Amino acid sequence: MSAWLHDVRTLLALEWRRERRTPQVLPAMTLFSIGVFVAFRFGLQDGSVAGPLAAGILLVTTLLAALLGIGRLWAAEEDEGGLDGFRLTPVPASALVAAKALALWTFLVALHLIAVPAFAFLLLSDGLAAGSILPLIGAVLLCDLGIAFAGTLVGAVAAAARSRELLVPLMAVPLLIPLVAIASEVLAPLLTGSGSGASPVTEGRWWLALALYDGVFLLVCWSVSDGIVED
Amino acid sequence: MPHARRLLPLTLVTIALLAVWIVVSVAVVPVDQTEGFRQKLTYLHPAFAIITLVAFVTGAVFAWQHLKHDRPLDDLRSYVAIHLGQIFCVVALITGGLWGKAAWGVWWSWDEPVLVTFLIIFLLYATYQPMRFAIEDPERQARTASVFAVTAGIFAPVCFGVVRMTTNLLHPQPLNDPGSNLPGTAGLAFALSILALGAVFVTLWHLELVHKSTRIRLRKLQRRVEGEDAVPVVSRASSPVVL
Repeated sequence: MSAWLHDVRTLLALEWRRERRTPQVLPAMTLFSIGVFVAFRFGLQDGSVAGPLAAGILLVTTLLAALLGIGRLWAAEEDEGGLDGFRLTPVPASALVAAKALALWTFLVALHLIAVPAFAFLLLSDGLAAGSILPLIGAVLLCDLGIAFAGTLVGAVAAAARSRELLVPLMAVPLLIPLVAIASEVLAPLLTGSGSGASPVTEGRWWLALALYDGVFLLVCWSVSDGIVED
Repeated sequence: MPHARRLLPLTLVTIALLAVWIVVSVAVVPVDQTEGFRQKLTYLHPAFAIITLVAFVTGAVFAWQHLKHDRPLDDLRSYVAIHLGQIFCVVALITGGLWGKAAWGVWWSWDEPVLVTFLIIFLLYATYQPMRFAIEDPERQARTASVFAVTAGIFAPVCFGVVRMTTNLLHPQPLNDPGSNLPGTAGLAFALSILALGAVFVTLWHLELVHKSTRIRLRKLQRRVEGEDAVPVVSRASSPVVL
């Protein structure tokens, strides 16, 4: 187990090193998200949202930004023969899939470190209630985890195809709609703002559903990892 | 290898079930006093929708078998189940639209989550063929298609579960709602619709399996007799090419 964790850590470090040397995914996702928030600011005229509308804008922007990351996730492995090199090593396939999922998850978390404050500044009418900040962080982390697991699978499937750029959004959007639906239920009460007075409460079953979605796609990732990497 | 000799008994059983289903639905079950003849769609549309989901989950099970045991026949089984599921899905969407027009006065309602969920699942599976045939290497194509089939097969029930949790449904839920149980012969007709369309699915699945595996074996023999270049391994055929 410790060898497996060591492999995952090494592969994850490789992903981040690649991103540091030639920044592609993070700048693209960040600029795209902020551009969308600005577009909503003008598109909604009064430029302020709260509750379910705010949750919807944040989640759909995250989903669309994630598509950029998903499309690039396996690109290096396919274009530069990285997968062939990986197959020569004794590292298990599940380690590579786990590292890819963790890489996408950490990219999304890094994106949200910038995008959520920008969203609050540009679009949230009443700002964030102090009691909402910790649950919001938890919800975003869980939501990103679900996107990362499903996105890793979609990226791997699409990477093998000629028309990768077309297939990623076609496959990822339907797969992530349930996640958006659940995460919206979790986030909407948290984004009602500080002006409402009452402390925001999300029903426990939505947290459970979000965790279950993540768990289901974690298991799928785990179980098909050999099929993704095998030659 | 799938055997052609099983086709005849399967077809006979299917025809018998279809005949009983049609007779019971049209002649035995009385015409509903409120909804009239359009209520007969109860014995058509839900069965197509249920068999569609069964087909997609069956495709996922065979895809899982393929990933586990690397048997090309499992990939073909998964491909055929998904292919037939797509056809059943289109019929379910069309009959759903007809029923919606008759019962609600609209062909489609974007506010209705069950319809939209079904459309999402259809759109997801609509990418199966473009994804599959965009991969040239037959073995990689089969493996990647299996990964997709397992993922989508697990996603379909999850998607329906989430939609049921998150929204108040206008669409009836006859299998769960105690108030909408179908009484007497209507319940029998409903059960028969699922049985009959299930039998149609199994028969068509077997027929297509026999047809495709025979064609693949024939091409293999042709290549052996006429040379490797006579028949290309990867043709533009809309089915797996390795068995």
